[in-house]
Amino acid sequence: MALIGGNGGIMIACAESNVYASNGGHNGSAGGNMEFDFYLPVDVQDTVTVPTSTADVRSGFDTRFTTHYIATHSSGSYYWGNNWKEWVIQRRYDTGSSGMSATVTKIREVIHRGHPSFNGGGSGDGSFPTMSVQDADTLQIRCRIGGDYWNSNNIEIYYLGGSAETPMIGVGADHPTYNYDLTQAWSE
Amino acid sequence: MTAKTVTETTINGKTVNMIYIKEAESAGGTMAGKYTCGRLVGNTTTNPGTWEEAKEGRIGAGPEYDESTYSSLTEYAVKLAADKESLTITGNFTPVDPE
Repeated sequence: MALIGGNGGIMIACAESNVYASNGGHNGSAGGNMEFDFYLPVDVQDTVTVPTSTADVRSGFDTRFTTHYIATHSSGSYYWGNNWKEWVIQRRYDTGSSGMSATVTKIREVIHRGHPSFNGGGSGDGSFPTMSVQDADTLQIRCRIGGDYWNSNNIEIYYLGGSAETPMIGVGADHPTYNYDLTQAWSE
Repeated sequence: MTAKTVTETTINGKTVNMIYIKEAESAGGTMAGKYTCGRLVGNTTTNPGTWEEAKEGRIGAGPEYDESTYSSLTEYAVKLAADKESLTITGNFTPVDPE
């Protein structure tokens, strides 16, 4: 059992396959992956108006450029094991073409598989939980974890920290093509 | 698919017909952890079964691996572990879906 808040972290989402199934998630039967969406906290900073005076160090910043760090802890009790992952999610704004884009990258993983099939490690590719960008405008992130037995899986998602006006502080949105030459796929 | 079936053999007096990575830390394109070889006992549609370990060992992999042959670093690491134990991988372990 997790001690929520006991480690000082902020839990922003959680799912337990028993509850999820009883709410129609995967119809209360065994098998099938669980999937749900959650949001990163950008709604306040997206409304921030920065000073225009160049005498102010905040002038010209674009608060739509953000970086967020989250962690996931998932565990299973049928095909049992534990998994801890850390992720970085970055959002940018491209004036010239597509508007908001975001990318999510796994940066670290620690796993213990008590059973060879934990976390999709048997018939699946063993990569659960996965994260994908569902909507860059609201930083809606989709999480998917493995199913196996209907009430045996859960996940917590912790917010480790974040920042406005990153990945590159101060460059703004005017020159995104050469300021953001990263290899990850970006989604709208 | 990190759990592999192997040609059955005996290690430390115990039956070995599977190998997988049981613990791992991955970051920066490398991974380090432990593999285990042994067998699964009593795996049915109503029981996940119990892992009977014959031997564990440490394994590391990355950052370079053949991405056209292996779908992930873990996939590559289990191959390295099998080679280390002179085990022949025969396929992917496919668990039954619980009823």
